Amino acid sequence: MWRPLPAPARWVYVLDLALSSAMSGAIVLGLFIGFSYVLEWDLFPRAYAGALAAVVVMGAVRGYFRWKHTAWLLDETGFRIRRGWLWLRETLVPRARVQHLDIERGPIERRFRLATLIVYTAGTSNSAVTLASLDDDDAVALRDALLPERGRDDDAI
Amino acid sequence: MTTPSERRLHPASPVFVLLLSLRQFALPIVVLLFTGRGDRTELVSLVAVGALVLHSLARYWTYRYRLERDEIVIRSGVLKKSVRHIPFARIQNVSLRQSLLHRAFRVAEVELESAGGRSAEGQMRVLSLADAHELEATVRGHERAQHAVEGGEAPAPPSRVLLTLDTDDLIRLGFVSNRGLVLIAAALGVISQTGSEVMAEFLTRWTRALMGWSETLHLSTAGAVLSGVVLVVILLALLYLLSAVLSISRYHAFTLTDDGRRLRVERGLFTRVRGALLRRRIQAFTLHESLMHRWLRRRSLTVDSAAMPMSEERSLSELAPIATREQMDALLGDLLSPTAAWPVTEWHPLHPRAWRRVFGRAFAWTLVLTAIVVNFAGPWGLLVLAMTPLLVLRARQWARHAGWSDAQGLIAVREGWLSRGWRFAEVRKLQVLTLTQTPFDRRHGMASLWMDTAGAVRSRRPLRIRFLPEADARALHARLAAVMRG
Repeated sequence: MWRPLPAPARWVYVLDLALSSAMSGAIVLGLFIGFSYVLEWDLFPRAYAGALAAVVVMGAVRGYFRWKHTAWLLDETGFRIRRGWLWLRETLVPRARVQHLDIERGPIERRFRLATLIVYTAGTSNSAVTLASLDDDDAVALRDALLPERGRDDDAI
Repeated sequence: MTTPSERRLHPASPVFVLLLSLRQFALPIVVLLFTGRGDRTELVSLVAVGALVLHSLARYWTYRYRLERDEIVIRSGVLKKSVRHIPFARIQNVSLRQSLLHRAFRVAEVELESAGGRSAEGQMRVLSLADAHELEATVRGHERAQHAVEGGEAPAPPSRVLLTLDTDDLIRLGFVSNRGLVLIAAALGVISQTGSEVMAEFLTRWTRALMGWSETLHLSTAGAVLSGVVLVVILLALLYLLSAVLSISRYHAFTLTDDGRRLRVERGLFTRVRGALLRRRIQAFTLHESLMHRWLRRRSLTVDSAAMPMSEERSLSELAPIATREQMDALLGDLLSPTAAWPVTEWHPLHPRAWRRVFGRAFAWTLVLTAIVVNFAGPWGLLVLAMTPLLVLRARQWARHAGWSDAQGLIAVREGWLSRGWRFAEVRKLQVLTLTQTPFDRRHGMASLWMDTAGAVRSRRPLRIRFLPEADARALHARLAAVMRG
C-alpha cells in the first residue's frame, strides 16, 4: 500500500517552497529593477510587489501539490517514492543498493514530530534519495528496515 | 629526522612543484606585470615567485615516505605536520605520468588511488624512475601475495594485449575527434576574451591580401568559385592535419593490456601516461559512432568507472579510442563478465509514435527560432520553416535506429541518427531505477525509464530509455527490480 505523507507535513512543504520561491523571486526582481534602472524603463513600482506576492503564492500552491502527490512504499524489493502531479516520477532504491541512511529533523519538522529520511546509494544522480517530512516513527522504522546487512558484498562498485 | 628506511622525493622535484604552481599562478603574475604601472609591480611579482620557490623547496625538504610491510607511510607538511598511512590493500591503482621534462630528468609523477576514490591519497611529485617502479612493484607484489593467500594457489595470469593503435589508427582518430577544430575554437575564444586587436588585424590583413591577389588574377565567376572551394579544401586539410598531429601526440603507442584483474593503458608521445583500472570497477559502457566513424568503419568506446579519475588527462575512460566493429565486439566480450554478452542480437523498438515526439520537440524549437528571425529579418524569416521536412526525416531515422534490450544480462539503449550511440551496463551494476512520465508521455501512453549507475559522468548521456510504451516500461521496471533484489 502506498503511504501518503502525514497531514502536518503540508505546512513544511508549503513554507519550504514559498520561502524558496520568495528568495529566487527576490533575486530575479532585484536584477530586473537594476536593469530597468540602467535602461531607464518606466515601470510601475507597485507591480514589483504584486509580482513577488504572486510568485510566493504560486510557490505555496506548488508546495501543497507536492505534499499531496508524494507517496512512499516499502516492500521486499526496496524503497519506492512516487512524486508529481503532471510530471510523474517513481523512484525505486532496491534494498541491496542502500549504502547508508540519515535522518534529519528541521526546526519546523521537530515541532510537528516529522523527520526527513535520506537514503544514500552508489548511484550518481540518485546518490542521495531524499524524502522530507515523514512521520518521525515511520522514518526511524524505514531507516532500521533499510540498513544494509553487515558483510554484504559490494564488490560490483 | 630521517630514519634509515625513509626516502625522499627526487632532488629535482622542487623544479616540478615550482613549474606546476607557476602554471597556476601564471595568469595573475602576467596580468600584474602587464597591467601594473610603476616600479612596484615587478617587485611584487618577484616576491610572489620567491614565495613559490620557497614553498617548493620546503615541500621537498619535509616530504618523506617509507615502505613498510603492508603499508606506505607518508610524512609531509611544514607547519602542519601530517603522517599518512595507506595500506597497500587499499591502493587500487598506481598511475605514472611522464612528460618530456620528466623523461629528461628520468623521473615520474606517481599517484596512488585508493578505494575511497574521490581524491588521490598520495600524489608524489616527483619520484626517480627506479623508486617509482619499486613502489609499483611493491603494491602489485603485495596484491598478488594477498590473492595467493585468499585463493590458494593463484598463479599470476599472463597479461594479454587487448588493443594497440598504430599510426594509421591515430590519423583516423584525428579525423573523427577533430581536436584541431576544438583547439582553434579555444584559441579564438581566448583571443576574443582578452579583447586584443591582434586577431582582427590579422584577419583583415589576410583577407585584403587574398582579395588583392585574386583581383590581379582576373578570375571569371566560375574561377572565383573554384578557387574559393580550393581554399576551403586547403583549410580543412590543414585542420585535419593538426587534428592528426594532436591525436598522435596524445595516443602514440596506445596499448590496452589485461593482467587478469586490471586493465592497463599506456599512451602518449611526449607525455607518457600509464594507468590501470580494476576490471570490476567498470560500471557502464558507451559506444559512439559518428558519421565520420561510419565512413571510416570505426567506433569509439568509453567506460564509466567507480574510481574517480584525478583529471581528464589521466582518466582511463577512453578504453578504446578507435577500433573496428569486430575488434570492439571482441574487446567487449573480454571486458564484460561471463554472465553478460555483447553484441545484443535482439533490439526492441520504442513506442510507434516515438518519432512524433522527437519531431515535435525539434519543431517547437524551430518555431521559436522562426519567430526570432522574422522579428529581425521580416517575412523572409519564414524560410526557416523550410527545415521541417529535414526534421521529419531526422525523427524517422532516429526512431528507426532507436531501441533497447534487456537480454543477455545487459541493459542496453541505442539512439542517434547521423551520429549514433549505444549505452549499456550489466544489470547487476544498476543502482536506482526511476520511471518518469511527462504530460506528453501520458497523452501518448509512454513512459521513460532511467537507470542510475555509479560513476556516471554528468556530461555524458544518461542511461535511460525514452518513449517506451507504458506497459513495456512497467514490465521492464518490474523485471529489473526482480534482478536487483537478488
